[in-house]
Amino acid sequence: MKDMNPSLLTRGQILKATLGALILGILLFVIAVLPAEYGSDPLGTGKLLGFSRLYRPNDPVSTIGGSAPQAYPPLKLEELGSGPDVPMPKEAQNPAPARQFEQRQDSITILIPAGKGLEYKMNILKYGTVKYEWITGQGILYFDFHGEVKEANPGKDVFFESYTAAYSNNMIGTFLAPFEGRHGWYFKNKGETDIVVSLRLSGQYTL
Amino acid sequence: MNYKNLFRFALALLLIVAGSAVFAHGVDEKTKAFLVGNEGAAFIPFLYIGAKHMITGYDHILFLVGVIFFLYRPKDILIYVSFFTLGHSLTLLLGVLGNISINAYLIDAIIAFSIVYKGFDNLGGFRKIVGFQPNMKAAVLIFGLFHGFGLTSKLQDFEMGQDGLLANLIGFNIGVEIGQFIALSFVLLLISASRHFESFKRFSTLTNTLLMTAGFVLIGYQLTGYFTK
Repeated sequence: MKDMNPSLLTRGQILKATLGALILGILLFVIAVLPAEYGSDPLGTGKLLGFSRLYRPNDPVSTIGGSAPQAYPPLKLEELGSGPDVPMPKEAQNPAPARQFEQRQDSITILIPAGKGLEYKMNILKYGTVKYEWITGQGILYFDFHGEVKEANPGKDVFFESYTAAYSNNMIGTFLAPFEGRHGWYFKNKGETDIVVSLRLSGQYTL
Repeated sequence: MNYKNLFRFALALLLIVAGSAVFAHGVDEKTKAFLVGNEGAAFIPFLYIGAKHMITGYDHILFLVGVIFFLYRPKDILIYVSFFTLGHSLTLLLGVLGNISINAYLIDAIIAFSIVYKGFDNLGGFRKIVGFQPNMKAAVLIFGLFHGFGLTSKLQDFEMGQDGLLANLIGFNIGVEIGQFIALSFVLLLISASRHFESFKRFSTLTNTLLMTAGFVLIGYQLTGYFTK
Protein backbone atom coordinates (compact mmCIF):
# COMPACT_ATOMS: atom_id res chain seq x y z
CA MET A 1 0.00 0.00 0.00
CA LYS A 2 2.45 2.56 1.24
CA ASP A 3 4.92 2.24 -1.59
CA MET A 4 2.11 3.11 -3.91
CA ASN A 5 1.76 6.49 -2.34
CA PRO A 6 5.14 7.59 -1.11
CA SER A 7 4.70 10.62 1.03
CA LEU A 8 6.86 13.04 -0.85
CA LEU A 9 5.83 16.07 1.09
CA THR A 10 6.99 17.29 4.44
CA ARG A 11 4.64 17.96 7.30
CA GLY A 12 4.88 21.67 6.71
CA GLN A 13 4.09 21.36 3.03
CA ILE A 14 1.03 19.28 3.71
CA LEU A 15 -0.20 21.73 6.32
CA LYS A 16 0.36 24.58 3.90
CA ALA A 17 -1.52 22.79 1.13
CA THR A 18 -4.44 21.93 3.42
CA LEU A 19 -4.68 25.42 4.83
CA GLY A 20 -4.34 26.87 1.34
CA ALA A 21 -7.16 24.63 0.12
CA LEU A 22 -9.35 25.68 3.03
CA ILE A 23 -8.71 29.39 2.51
CA LEU A 24 -9.14 29.18 -1.25
CA GLY A 25 -12.31 27.15 -0.72
CA ILE A 26 -13.77 29.69 1.70
CA LEU A 27 -12.86 32.57 -0.62
CA LEU A 28 -14.48 30.91 -3.64
CA PHE A 29 -17.50 30.10 -1.55
CA VAL A 30 -17.96 33.61 -0.19
CA ILE A 31 -17.00 35.49 -3.37
CA ALA A 32 -18.85 33.39 -5.93
CA VAL A 33 -21.02 30.56 -4.60
CA LEU A 34 -22.94 32.44 -1.91
CA PRO A 35 -24.02 35.31 -4.21
CA ALA A 36 -24.67 33.10 -7.23
CA GLU A 37 -26.52 30.29 -5.50
CA TYR A 38 -28.08 31.84 -2.43
CA GLY A 39 -28.27 35.56 -3.20
CA SER A 40 -26.22 36.44 -0.15
CA ASP A 41 -23.36 38.84 -0.73
CA PRO A 42 -21.28 39.44 2.41
CA LEU A 43 -18.28 41.03 0.64
CA GLY A 44 -20.11 42.84 -2.14
CA THR A 45 -18.28 40.72 -4.70
CA GLY A 46 -21.52 39.34 -6.09
CA LYS A 47 -22.59 42.77 -7.17
CA LEU A 48 -19.12 43.84 -8.24
CA LEU A 49 -18.37 40.78 -10.36
CA GLY A 50 -21.87 39.95 -11.45
CA PHE A 51 -22.36 36.67 -9.56
CA SER A 52 -25.52 38.03 -7.98
CA ARG A 53 -27.15 38.21 -11.37
CA LEU A 54 -26.97 34.43 -11.58
CA TYR A 55 -29.16 34.08 -8.53
CA ARG A 56 -32.77 33.21 -9.17
CA PRO A 57 -34.73 32.99 -5.95
CA ASN A 58 -37.59 30.82 -7.13
CA ASP A 59 -35.41 28.22 -8.75
CA PRO A 60 -35.48 25.16 -6.60
CA VAL A 61 -31.77 24.76 -6.01
CA SER A 62 -30.97 21.22 -6.84
CA THR A 63 -27.93 19.54 -5.44
CA ILE A 64 -24.83 20.53 -7.26
CA GLY A 65 -23.93 17.05 -8.38
CA GLY A 66 -27.43 16.34 -9.52
CA SER A 67 -29.43 16.89 -12.59
CA ALA A 68 -30.70 20.28 -13.66
CA PRO A 69 -33.39 21.91 -11.51
CA GLN A 70 -36.46 19.85 -12.04
CA ALA A 71 -39.10 21.33 -14.29
CA TYR A 72 -42.65 20.14 -13.95
CA PRO A 73 -42.97 16.75 -15.53
CA PRO A 74 -45.16 16.84 -18.63
CA LEU A 75 -48.68 15.60 -18.10
CA LYS A 76 -49.91 13.01 -20.55
CA LEU A 77 -53.33 12.13 -21.83
CA GLU A 78 -52.91 8.60 -20.49
CA GLU A 79 -52.79 9.92 -16.93
CA LEU A 80 -56.32 11.26 -17.08
CA GLY A 81 -58.80 9.62 -14.77
CA SER A 82 -58.72 6.16 -13.29
CA GLY A 83 -57.48 4.52 -16.48
CA PRO A 84 -58.98 2.05 -18.95
CA ASP A 85 -59.18 -0.82 -16.45
CA VAL A 86 -61.83 0.79 -14.30
CA PRO A 87 -65.22 0.88 -16.05
CA MET A 88 -67.53 3.81 -15.60
CA PRO A 89 -70.29 2.83 -13.14
CA LYS A 90 -73.75 2.44 -14.66
CA GLU A 91 -75.08 5.06 -12.22
CA ALA A 92 -73.40 7.66 -14.39
CA GLN A 93 -76.19 7.08 -16.95
CA ASN A 94 -78.95 7.91 -14.45
CA PRO A 95 -81.21 10.74 -15.56
CA ALA A 96 -80.79 14.19 -14.05
CA PRO A 97 -83.05 15.00 -11.09
CA ALA A 98 -85.90 17.48 -11.38
CA ARG A 99 -84.47 19.71 -8.69
CA GLN A 100 -80.84 20.60 -8.07
CA PHE A 101 -79.28 21.35 -4.68
CA GLU A 102 -80.00 24.79 -3.25
CA GLN A 103 -77.82 27.59 -4.56
CA ARG A 104 -75.11 28.46 -2.04
CA GLN A 105 -71.74 30.15 -1.64
CA ASP A 106 -68.69 29.28 0.38
CA SER A 107 -65.18 30.55 1.01
CA ILE A 108 -62.78 27.93 2.23
CA THR A 109 -59.06 27.87 2.95
CA ILE A 110 -57.17 24.61 2.75
CA LEU A 111 -53.63 23.99 3.91
CA ILE A 112 -51.62 21.68 1.69
CA PRO A 113 -48.54 20.66 3.69
CA ALA A 114 -45.21 20.46 1.88
CA GLY A 115 -44.89 17.23 -0.03
CA LYS A 116 -48.48 16.15 0.65
CA GLY A 117 -51.60 15.72 -1.42
CA LEU A 118 -55.14 16.58 -0.33
CA GLU A 119 -58.59 16.36 -1.82
CA TYR A 120 -61.44 18.80 -1.52
CA LYS A 121 -64.77 17.73 -2.92
CA MET A 122 -68.39 18.85 -3.35
CA ASN A 123 -71.55 16.77 -3.75
CA ILE A 124 -73.24 17.79 -6.99
CA LEU A 125 -76.26 16.23 -8.70
CA LYS A 126 -76.26 15.44 -12.39
CA TYR A 127 -76.18 18.67 -14.43
CA GLY A 128 -75.77 20.81 -11.33
CA THR A 129 -73.60 23.86 -11.95
CA VAL A 130 -70.90 25.46 -9.84
CA LYS A 131 -68.64 28.47 -10.35
CA TYR A 132 -65.31 28.22 -8.69
CA GLU A 133 -62.14 30.13 -8.01
CA TRP A 134 -59.03 29.08 -6.17
CA ILE A 135 -55.68 30.73 -5.62
CA THR A 136 -52.62 29.81 -3.62
CA GLY A 137 -51.00 32.16 -1.15
CA GLN A 138 -47.67 31.43 -2.72
CA GLY A 139 -46.39 28.60 -4.84
CA ILE A 140 -47.50 26.22 -7.54
CA LEU A 141 -49.61 23.14 -6.96
CA TYR A 142 -50.28 20.12 -9.07
CA PHE A 143 -54.03 19.61 -9.22
CA ASP A 144 -56.46 17.18 -10.74
CA PHE A 145 -60.01 18.49 -10.97
CA HIS A 146 -62.07 15.32 -11.12
CA GLY A 147 -65.28 13.59 -10.14
CA GLU A 148 -66.38 10.24 -8.79
CA VAL A 149 -69.76 8.73 -9.63
CA LYS A 150 -72.13 8.13 -6.73
CA GLU A 151 -72.42 4.37 -6.59
CA ALA A 152 -74.71 2.06 -4.63
CA ASN A 153 -71.98 -0.60 -4.38
CA PRO A 154 -68.57 0.90 -5.02
CA GLY A 155 -66.04 -1.65 -6.23
CA LYS A 156 -62.43 -2.01 -5.19
CA ASP A 157 -61.10 0.35 -7.82
CA VAL A 158 -62.93 3.61 -7.72
CA PHE A 159 -63.73 5.12 -11.06
CA PHE A 160 -62.99 8.80 -11.44
CA GLU A 161 -62.99 11.15 -14.35
CA SER A 162 -60.39 13.90 -14.63
CA TYR A 163 -61.71 17.17 -15.99
CA THR A 164 -58.52 19.17 -15.78
CA ALA A 165 -55.05 18.40 -14.46
CA ALA A 166 -52.30 21.01 -14.45
CA TYR A 167 -49.71 22.88 -12.46
CA SER A 168 -50.97 26.25 -11.36
CA ASN A 169 -51.31 28.76 -8.57
CA ASN A 170 -54.74 29.97 -9.67
CA MET A 171 -57.82 28.69 -11.46
CA ILE A 172 -61.37 29.82 -12.18
CA GLY A 173 -64.19 28.24 -14.11
CA THR A 174 -67.75 27.02 -14.34
CA PHE A 175 -68.59 23.39 -13.96
CA LEU A 176 -71.57 21.33 -15.17
CA ALA A 177 -71.52 17.97 -13.42
CA PRO A 178 -71.74 15.10 -15.95
CA PHE A 179 -73.05 12.70 -13.31
CA GLU A 180 -74.15 12.70 -9.70
CA GLY A 181 -71.29 12.28 -7.27
CA ARG A 182 -68.40 13.95 -5.56
CA HIS A 183 -66.48 16.42 -7.64
CA GLY A 184 -63.49 18.48 -6.67
CA TRP A 185 -59.77 18.94 -6.59
CA TYR A 186 -56.87 16.80 -5.69
CA PHE A 187 -54.02 19.15 -4.79
CA LYS A 188 -50.45 18.00 -4.52
CA ASN A 189 -47.81 20.24 -3.02
CA LYS A 190 -44.47 19.17 -4.47
CA GLY A 191 -42.58 22.03 -2.91
CA GLU A 192 -40.79 22.32 0.38
CA THR A 193 -43.09 24.85 2.04
CA ASP A 194 -46.73 24.53 3.00
CA ILE A 195 -49.21 26.16 0.64
CA VAL A 196 -52.58 27.67 1.52
CA VAL A 197 -55.35 27.46 -1.06
CA SER A 198 -58.24 29.93 -0.89
CA LEU A 199 -61.27 28.44 -2.57
CA ARG A 200 -64.49 30.25 -3.46
CA LEU A 201 -67.56 28.37 -4.61
CA SER A 202 -70.96 29.43 -5.83
CA GLY A 203 -73.55 27.05 -7.17
CA GLN A 204 -75.72 23.98 -6.69
CA TYR A 205 -73.79 21.73 -4.33
CA THR A 206 -73.48 20.51 -0.77
CA LEU A 207 -70.25 20.06 1.17
CA MET B 1 -6.71 0.38 16.78
CA ASN B 2 -6.87 3.88 15.43
CA TYR B 3 -8.89 3.24 12.40
CA LYS B 4 -11.25 1.31 14.57
CA ASN B 5 -12.07 4.66 16.13
CA LEU B 6 -12.45 6.21 12.74
CA PHE B 7 -14.73 3.40 11.74
CA ARG B 8 -16.83 3.97 14.86
CA PHE B 9 -16.97 7.66 14.14
CA ALA B 10 -18.10 7.05 10.59
CA LEU B 11 -20.67 4.53 11.75
CA ALA B 12 -21.99 6.98 14.33
CA LEU B 13 -22.21 9.64 11.64
CA LEU B 14 -24.08 7.26 9.38
CA LEU B 15 -26.52 6.45 12.15
CA ILE B 16 -27.15 10.10 12.97
CA VAL B 17 -27.91 10.83 9.37
CA ALA B 18 -30.05 7.75 8.97
CA GLY B 19 -31.78 8.65 12.23
CA SER B 20 -32.79 12.03 10.90
CA ALA B 21 -34.30 10.31 7.91
CA VAL B 22 -37.88 11.19 7.29
CA PHE B 23 -40.02 8.36 6.08
CA ALA B 24 -41.71 10.46 3.51
CA HIS B 25 -42.77 9.45 0.05
CA GLY B 26 -45.47 7.23 1.43
CA VAL B 27 -48.22 7.21 -1.12
CA ASP B 28 -51.23 8.93 0.37
CA GLU B 29 -54.25 6.69 0.45
CA LYS B 30 -56.27 8.07 -2.36
CA THR B 31 -53.46 9.42 -4.42
CA LYS B 32 -52.02 6.32 -5.90
CA ALA B 33 -54.11 6.74 -9.00
CA PHE B 34 -52.87 10.29 -9.33
CA LEU B 35 -49.16 9.74 -9.09
CA VAL B 36 -47.72 11.70 -11.92
CA GLY B 37 -44.57 10.94 -13.77
CA ASN B 38 -43.07 7.53 -13.94
CA GLU B 39 -45.59 4.77 -13.62
CA GLY B 40 -44.41 1.32 -14.35
CA ALA B 41 -41.10 -0.08 -15.36
CA ALA B 42 -38.83 2.06 -17.49
CA PHE B 43 -35.56 0.18 -17.36
CA ILE B 44 -33.66 1.87 -20.14
CA PRO B 45 -34.57 5.45 -19.20
CA PHE B 46 -33.43 4.82 -15.64
CA LEU B 47 -30.26 3.22 -16.93
CA TYR B 48 -29.62 6.41 -18.82
CA ILE B 49 -30.45 8.61 -15.83
CA GLY B 50 -28.02 6.65 -13.67
CA ALA B 51 -25.20 6.87 -16.18
CA LYS B 52 -25.83 10.55 -16.81
CA HIS B 53 -25.92 11.33 -13.12
CA MET B 54 -22.56 9.68 -12.63
CA ILE B 55 -20.89 11.37 -15.59
CA THR B 56 -22.24 14.83 -14.81
CA GLY B 57 -22.17 14.42 -11.03
CA TYR B 58 -18.74 15.76 -10.37
CA ASP B 59 -18.81 15.15 -6.64
CA HIS B 60 -18.70 11.41 -7.23
CA ILE B 61 -16.05 11.80 -9.90
CA LEU B 62 -13.84 14.08 -7.77
CA PHE B 63 -13.92 11.47 -5.04
CA LEU B 64 -12.98 8.76 -7.50
CA VAL B 65 -10.14 10.89 -8.85
CA GLY B 66 -8.84 11.03 -5.29
CA VAL B 67 -9.28 7.31 -4.79
CA ILE B 68 -7.43 6.15 -7.87
CA PHE B 69 -4.89 8.92 -7.90
CA PHE B 70 -1.99 6.84 -6.66
CA LEU B 71 -3.19 3.51 -7.99
CA TYR B 72 -1.68 2.31 -11.18
CA ARG B 73 -1.96 -1.44 -10.93
CA PRO B 74 -5.21 -2.48 -12.64
CA LYS B 75 -5.81 -4.96 -9.84
CA ASP B 76 -5.71 -2.24 -7.18
CA ILE B 77 -7.97 0.02 -9.18
CA LEU B 78 -10.42 -2.83 -9.57
CA ILE B 79 -10.37 -3.58 -5.83
CA TYR B 80 -10.90 0.02 -4.74
CA VAL B 81 -13.58 0.74 -7.30
CA SER B 82 -15.31 -2.48 -6.25
CA PHE B 83 -15.36 -1.32 -2.64
CA PHE B 84 -16.86 1.97 -3.72
CA THR B 85 -19.42 0.22 -5.91
CA LEU B 86 -20.34 -2.20 -3.14
CA GLY B 87 -20.82 0.69 -0.72
CA HIS B 88 -23.01 2.87 -2.87
CA SER B 89 -25.04 0.00 -4.30
CA LEU B 90 -25.88 -1.21 -0.80
CA THR B 91 -27.25 2.10 0.39
CA LEU B 92 -28.90 2.87 -2.93
CA LEU B 93 -30.90 -0.36 -2.78
CA LEU B 94 -31.55 0.00 0.94
CA GLY B 95 -32.56 3.63 0.61
CA VAL B 96 -34.97 3.23 -2.26
CA LEU B 97 -36.52 -0.08 -1.25
CA GLY B 98 -36.79 1.02 2.38
CA ASN B 99 -38.22 4.37 1.32
CA ILE B 100 -35.58 6.12 3.36
CA SER B 101 -35.36 9.74 2.46
CA ILE B 102 -32.40 11.61 3.83
CA ASN B 103 -31.83 15.30 3.53
CA ALA B 104 -30.00 15.66 0.22
CA TYR B 105 -27.99 18.68 1.39
CA LEU B 106 -26.64 16.82 4.40
CA ILE B 107 -25.70 13.78 2.38
CA ASP B 108 -24.09 15.88 -0.34
CA ALA B 109 -22.12 17.76 2.31
CA ILE B 110 -20.73 14.44 3.55
CA ILE B 111 -19.94 13.45 -0.04
CA ALA B 112 -18.09 16.77 -0.38
CA PHE B 113 -16.26 15.97 2.84
CA SER B 114 -15.19 12.65 1.36
CA ILE B 115 -13.38 14.60 -1.37
CA VAL B 116 -11.52 16.69 1.19
CA TYR B 117 -10.69 13.55 3.12
CA LYS B 118 -9.26 11.78 0.10
CA GLY B 119 -7.22 14.81 -1.00
CA PHE B 120 -5.74 15.12 2.47
CA ASP B 121 -5.06 11.39 2.50
CA ASN B 122 -3.30 11.57 -0.86
CA LEU B 123 -1.05 14.39 0.29
CA GLY B 124 0.10 12.09 3.08
CA GLY B 125 -1.69 14.11 5.70
CA PHE B 126 -2.77 11.19 7.81
CA ARG B 127 0.73 9.76 8.21
CA LYS B 128 2.61 13.01 8.52
CA ILE B 129 0.19 15.14 10.52
CA VAL B 130 -2.41 12.96 12.19
CA GLY B 131 0.10 10.23 12.86
CA PHE B 132 -1.80 7.19 11.66
CA GLN B 133 -3.08 5.91 8.38
CA PRO B 134 -6.75 4.87 8.40
CA ASN B 135 -7.47 1.82 6.31
CA MET B 136 -7.96 3.16 2.81
CA LYS B 137 -10.25 0.36 1.68
CA ALA B 138 -12.50 0.80 4.70
CA ALA B 139 -12.66 4.54 4.05
CA VAL B 140 -13.64 4.01 0.43
CA LEU B 141 -16.31 1.52 1.47
CA ILE B 142 -17.75 3.80 4.17
CA PHE B 143 -17.79 6.87 1.95
CA GLY B 144 -19.28 4.66 -0.74
CA LEU B 145 -22.22 4.07 1.62
CA PHE B 146 -22.81 7.82 1.85
CA HIS B 147 -22.51 8.28 -1.89
CA GLY B 148 -25.22 5.64 -2.21
CA PHE B 149 -27.60 7.66 -0.05
CA GLY B 150 -26.85 10.60 -2.32
CA LEU B 151 -27.87 8.48 -5.29
CA THR B 152 -31.01 7.45 -3.40
CA SER B 153 -32.16 11.03 -3.04
CA LYS B 154 -31.52 11.68 -6.74
CA LEU B 155 -33.59 8.69 -7.72
CA GLN B 156 -36.38 9.62 -5.33
CA ASP B 157 -36.64 12.98 -7.06
CA PHE B 158 -38.35 11.09 -9.83
CA GLU B 159 -41.27 10.09 -7.63
CA MET B 160 -41.62 6.64 -9.00
CA GLY B 161 -44.65 4.56 -8.27
CA GLN B 162 -44.25 1.14 -6.74
CA ASP B 163 -44.93 -0.36 -10.15
CA GLY B 164 -41.70 -1.55 -11.65
CA LEU B 165 -39.73 0.01 -8.83
CA LEU B 166 -37.22 -2.79 -8.70
CA ALA B 167 -36.62 -2.80 -12.44
CA ASN B 168 -36.16 0.96 -12.42
CA LEU B 169 -33.87 0.77 -9.43
CA ILE B 170 -31.69 -1.91 -10.97
CA GLY B 171 -31.62 0.02 -14.22
CA PHE B 172 -30.49 3.12 -12.37
CA ASN B 173 -27.85 1.20 -10.45
CA ILE B 174 -26.41 -0.43 -13.57
CA GLY B 175 -26.49 2.96 -15.24
CA VAL B 176 -24.50 4.40 -12.35
CA GLU B 177 -21.84 1.73 -12.81
CA ILE B 178 -21.70 2.32 -16.56
CA GLY B 179 -21.36 6.05 -16.02
CA GLN B 180 -18.71 5.47 -13.40
CA PHE B 181 -16.80 3.23 -15.78
CA ILE B 182 -16.88 5.82 -18.54
CA ALA B 183 -15.86 8.64 -16.25
CA LEU B 184 -13.10 6.55 -14.69
CA SER B 185 -11.69 5.66 -18.09
CA PHE B 186 -11.17 9.31 -18.88
CA VAL B 187 -9.71 10.08 -15.49
CA LEU B 188 -7.33 7.12 -15.70
CA LEU B 189 -6.21 8.17 -19.13
CA LEU B 190 -5.37 11.65 -17.89
CA ILE B 191 -3.62 10.51 -14.74
CA SER B 192 -1.59 7.82 -16.51
CA ALA B 193 -0.52 10.27 -19.14
CA SER B 194 0.59 12.80 -16.58
CA ARG B 195 2.69 10.21 -14.71
CA HIS B 196 5.24 10.34 -17.50
CA PHE B 197 6.07 13.92 -16.80
CA GLU B 198 8.77 15.07 -14.45
CA SER B 199 6.35 17.42 -12.83
CA PHE B 200 4.11 14.62 -11.58
CA LYS B 201 4.96 15.31 -7.96
CA ARG B 202 4.08 18.97 -8.25
CA PHE B 203 1.09 18.08 -10.34
CA SER B 204 -0.11 15.58 -7.75
CA THR B 205 0.29 18.05 -4.91
CA LEU B 206 -1.59 20.68 -6.88
CA THR B 207 -4.33 18.27 -7.94
CA ASN B 208 -4.94 17.00 -4.44
CA THR B 209 -4.88 20.52 -3.02
CA LEU B 210 -7.46 21.53 -5.61
CA LEU B 211 -9.48 18.43 -4.78
CA MET B 212 -9.64 19.61 -1.18
CA THR B 213 -10.52 23.11 -2.31
CA ALA B 214 -13.40 21.82 -4.40
CA GLY B 215 -14.51 19.70 -1.45
CA PHE B 216 -14.49 22.69 0.88
CA VAL B 217 -16.50 24.78 -1.58
CA LEU B 218 -19.05 22.01 -1.97
CA ILE B 219 -19.33 21.56 1.79
CA GLY B 220 -20.08 25.26 2.13
CA TYR B 221 -22.60 25.11 -0.67
CA GLN B 222 -24.46 22.10 0.69
CA LEU B 223 -24.45 23.19 4.32
CA THR B 224 -25.77 26.62 3.38
CA GLY B 225 -28.52 24.87 1.48
CA TYR B 226 -29.25 22.69 4.48
CA PHE B 227 -29.54 25.60 6.87
CA THR B 228 -31.45 27.98 4.61
CA LYS B 229 -33.89 25.73 2.77
